[in-house]
Amino acid sequence: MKILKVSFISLIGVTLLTGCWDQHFLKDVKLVMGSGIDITSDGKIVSTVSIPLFTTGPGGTETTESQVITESGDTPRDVRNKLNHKIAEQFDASELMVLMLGEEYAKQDISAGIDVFYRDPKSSVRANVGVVKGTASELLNIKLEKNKLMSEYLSSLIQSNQESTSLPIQTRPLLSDMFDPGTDFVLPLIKPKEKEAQIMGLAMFSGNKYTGQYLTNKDSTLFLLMADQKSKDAVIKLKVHKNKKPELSNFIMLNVLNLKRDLKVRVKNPDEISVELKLDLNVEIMEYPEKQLYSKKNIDKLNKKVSSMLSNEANNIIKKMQKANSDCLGIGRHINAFHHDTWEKLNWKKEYPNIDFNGIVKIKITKHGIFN
Amino acid sequence: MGFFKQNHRGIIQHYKQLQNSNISGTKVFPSFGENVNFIIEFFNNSHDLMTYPFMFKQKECMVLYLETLVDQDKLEQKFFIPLSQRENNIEKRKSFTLEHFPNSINFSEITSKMLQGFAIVIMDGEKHVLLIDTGLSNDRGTEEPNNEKVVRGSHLGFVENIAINLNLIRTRIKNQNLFIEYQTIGEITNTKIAIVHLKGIANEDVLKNVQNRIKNISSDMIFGPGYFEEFIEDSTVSPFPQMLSTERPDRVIANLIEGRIALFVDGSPTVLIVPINFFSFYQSPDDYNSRAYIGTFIQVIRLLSFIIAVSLPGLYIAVIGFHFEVLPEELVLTVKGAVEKVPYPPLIEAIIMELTIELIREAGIRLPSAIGTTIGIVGGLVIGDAIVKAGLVSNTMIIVVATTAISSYVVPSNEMSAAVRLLRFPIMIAAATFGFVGIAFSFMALFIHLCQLESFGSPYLAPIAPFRFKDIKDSIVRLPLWKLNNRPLDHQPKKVNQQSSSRKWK
Amino acid sequence: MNTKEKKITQFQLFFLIFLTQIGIGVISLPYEVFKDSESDAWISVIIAGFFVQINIVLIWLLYRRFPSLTIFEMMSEVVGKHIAFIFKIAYILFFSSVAILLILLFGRMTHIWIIPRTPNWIILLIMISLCVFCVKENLTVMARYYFVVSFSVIFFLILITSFVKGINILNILPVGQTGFPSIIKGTAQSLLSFLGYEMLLVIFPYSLGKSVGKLKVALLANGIVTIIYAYITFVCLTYLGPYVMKLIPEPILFILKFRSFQIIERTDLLFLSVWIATFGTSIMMYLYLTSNGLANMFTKTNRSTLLFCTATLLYILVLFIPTNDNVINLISNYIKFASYFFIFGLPCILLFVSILRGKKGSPETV
Repeated sequence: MKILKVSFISLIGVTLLTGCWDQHFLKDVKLVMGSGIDITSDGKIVSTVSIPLFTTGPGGTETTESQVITESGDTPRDVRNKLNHKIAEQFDASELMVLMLGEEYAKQDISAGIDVFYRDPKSSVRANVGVVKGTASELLNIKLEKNKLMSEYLSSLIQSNQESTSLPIQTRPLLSDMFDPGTDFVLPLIKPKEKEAQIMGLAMFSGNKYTGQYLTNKDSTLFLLMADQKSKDAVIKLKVHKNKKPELSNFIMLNVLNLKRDLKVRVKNPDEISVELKLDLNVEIMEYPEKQLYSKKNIDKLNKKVSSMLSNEANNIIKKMQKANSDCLGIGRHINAFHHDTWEKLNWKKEYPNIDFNGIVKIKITKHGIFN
Repeated sequence: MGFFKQNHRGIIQHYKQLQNSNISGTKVFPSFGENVNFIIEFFNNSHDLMTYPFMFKQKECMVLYLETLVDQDKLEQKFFIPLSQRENNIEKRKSFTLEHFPNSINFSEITSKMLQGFAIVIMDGEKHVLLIDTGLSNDRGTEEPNNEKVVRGSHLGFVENIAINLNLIRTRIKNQNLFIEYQTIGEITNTKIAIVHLKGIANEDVLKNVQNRIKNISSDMIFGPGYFEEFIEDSTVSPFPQMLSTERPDRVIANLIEGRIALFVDGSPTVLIVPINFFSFYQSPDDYNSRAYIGTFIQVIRLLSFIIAVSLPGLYIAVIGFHFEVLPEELVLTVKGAVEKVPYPPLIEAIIMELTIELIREAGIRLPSAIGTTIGIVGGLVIGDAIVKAGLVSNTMIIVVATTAISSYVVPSNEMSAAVRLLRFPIMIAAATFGFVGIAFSFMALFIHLCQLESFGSPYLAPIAPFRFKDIKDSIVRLPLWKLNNRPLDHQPKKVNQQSSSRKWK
Repeated sequence: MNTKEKKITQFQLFFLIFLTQIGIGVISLPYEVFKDSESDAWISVIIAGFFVQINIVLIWLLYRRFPSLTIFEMMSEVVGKHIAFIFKIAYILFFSSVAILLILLFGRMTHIWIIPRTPNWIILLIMISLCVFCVKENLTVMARYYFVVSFSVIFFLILITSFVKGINILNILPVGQTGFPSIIKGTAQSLLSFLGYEMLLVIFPYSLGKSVGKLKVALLANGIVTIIYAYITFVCLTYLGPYVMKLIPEPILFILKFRSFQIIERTDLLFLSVWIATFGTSIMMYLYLTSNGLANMFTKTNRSTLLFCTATLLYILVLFIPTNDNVINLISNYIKFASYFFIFGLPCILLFVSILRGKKGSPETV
């Protein structure tokens, strides 16, 4: 009994003295919050990271600026190890906020480079991913105004656009869309300017590669509505009249309140697939200088006009998607689910550009502010 | 070990010999002088043994008493004044009698009564020795105890005299079933204790258990319940108290009526209540004197405070030292900035601050009230602020420690608060060794221990552990009083129904 | 009847069964079943649960013939002392090997997800010591602790309901596309996660109440476990999609990693830390069963002493087994086949033999 007690106590002592194998102090790491991947002409990976710097004072922590470092290597993990040769403390990417992919890099299969983010249990799967028109290092090297962190800036930029339904919100990990042959995904496209970054639209991917084509900001809201992904606000601008003076009275700004989407896929045989997309929107008028909303006849007329314009735009968007061979609406998955035998015989990548699409948008103006 | 045992045996035998000298029923000697000498020798010629000889009916008599135990006023009233009146007034000669006093022939009874404050009269030629009750009681008033204050409720508290304490109980439970059992324990101190319960409600087996354990106590001294709590409790190894100690009569009465047993000790205002469960420590008479909703809300907050007080420093250490990726992005930079300058790991930070708080607390008890508040301000603000500026401890740590300190004092019971404060440290060390897994393991160990713990046969975690949904209405939440129709079952009361529908007029 | 054990109520019996079954299965079940039956994994799970219900009724029928005996005591009555001796040893070895498998899986899980650099031996040592700490008391203490741990399951269910929003039903349509044979193969795979109900062989006599009530409780516990497992598989399939499931061995944790809340980021870490208690309960029950069997064989020794010896032996054994996937798969396969025999086959045989021989035990004293 005595030996048991002694050994037990010594075991506890040993554990406490030599233990804490997994200690990973917050003060000993350099948090990488923004990361960018580019590719060189000979296939090497160039990674740019943005590390926030801050000063601690009596008022608390104050962030000053970001430190941006670039390094090249064979794989992203290799680059990380090499970065450790440059960074003062340990590299830690568990709080990654944004991951930017350079245009050239995105044009080849991106799933290979993202592997490192899904394998490490500590890594953050929730980082916002985006494509850069240019190179990621250009974007991350932008000199922002004082006391603004690059990663915070980009991440809040993307977030605010997600709330206004210009960019899609990631409800599922990117991984599940990447490996699904029945759907393709879209990522935000950002262009670096002198002192800021600008969102250009949605980059369309086919397979796991960037097609080079993108939907502009104008189209991305409508596209997201077609994909049944409305967020808090969704603002659409249309030119409903011509030749009115002043010029701005030709336009109308709508905010979508509710949407109902009906997607029907009709498969006769593998070469004759038609898709009908019906979208019912309840909208609110945000700005309409024409001031004609006091009569019901005018409202009906406006409804019809806006509906036909939006239907045209929807069809245009679909044509763009077909041209890029990017099945962003997930039609393939529909076919897989409801017409499974056809799906087995189908070569989706070939057939998708030839599908008949018919987009019908019906709007109903339900609110128009406190003013007619 | 054996060496100490022999010595111990020697001490016990020595005292048993002393007591045996009159336990065997030494009776009063026929000769007057022998009796007096016996008494004087028995008390080892103590200087406070007063003797006063006088003549009564032409016989030699003597009054003996221990002046330090006797109330001079009472002695005057009962004995000396009638005696002097008899001396002066011949008519009253016949009215002065001594026969109405109780008497005894057994020296053990005589001497024990003398030790309780009686004065004895030995008369030459009489077989009986007279006992006059003149005990001095030296008590403070029954004010509310300092550490168990309530906002709304009675402000009475127990005092050191067991008779007054029992009086406070009897006046509030005017029932013939309130059963008081006296016992004397403590070889040297001969302290009187009382075991009180309500016959017909309290469980007889539990009572027998209590009596058995008390009978087995063999110790020289019993100063207060704290002493014999450790002799009769189920598990001394556990940090948790298994008996509720209180100084308030209303708490004792409520528990007696629920069917528990109260132990009073002469010389201490603290009363022990058995058997008890974990949630009773988190109840305060305040809850029952206020409205149901607020009572429930405060109860739930108190129970939350237990979790916070025990685990918060451990969580901080685990997050900062192992898994900081749990923090959301906006928070991580602030915390990192706070921790950046600190030269050592979070465990050392935490231990420094916790020990400082414990030192401040301990010093605060002993400070005279004049400088008490000043030192409190010094300790709190200056040390807290200065230590952060000096870069020894981070801001977040101060918040964690302050919240923990506040949470650990929310418990209405002092022992439970001590248990909570002690438990913090092993959990901190476990968190510093294994991170979240360490905290998970320590909570496992804690709950397994709580499930194993029993207080006189009733499980400690009732009503959670043997889950009785009906008992929750009085321990975790506090439903309106007219809903509490049945007693909680954890201590096996005999009569479960305690009230019936009282709102029939609705 | 082992009179040293106090009896537990039916309510506590429910939690004992429930928590022994739910344990490690929750985390890797969807992946294991997916490997065989792909997008119809949830159907396989439901069918497996149904088979387990039948098995429970079988065990109950056997129990009804000997209402106050555990299976160890029953065996010597039915087949005679010598054969019973062999069977008892076999059962004890079976229970201990399940305990070893659970301990290995626990070590691997914490090693991969939470604390990669801490050596395995210390974590397993602490876990085994805590289990011994709980099991050395009698069954009522264990039952109380199991109830306390069940709150972690409620926490888990709340977490899962929070990400129902992101599921895409299209992922599992059309239903039944993988065909019946693979669904059945998937059922066989998932039976391993349902293990835990064989404790009824030993625990049925220790609970109060009429036997019909006990059957209801057991069926209810298993039913809820089935529903929870099917729900989890369903959510994993619809959330992640069948194309990615084969890459993710612990889908629930992956989903939790993705869904964060405002104040907490890595929800999987928190969940796994809380779930450690549930792992512990599964291991504890098997340790209890082993020590109960040994106490039945060596009647002179105290059950807790036997428990200490068993635990020490198991720990030393575990130290020598390398924790790589091959070994764990080997042990799981062995246990799968062994469980068919020990949990289904042997009670069947015992039932028939006892009916043939006309043996019946004394009626139960409630």
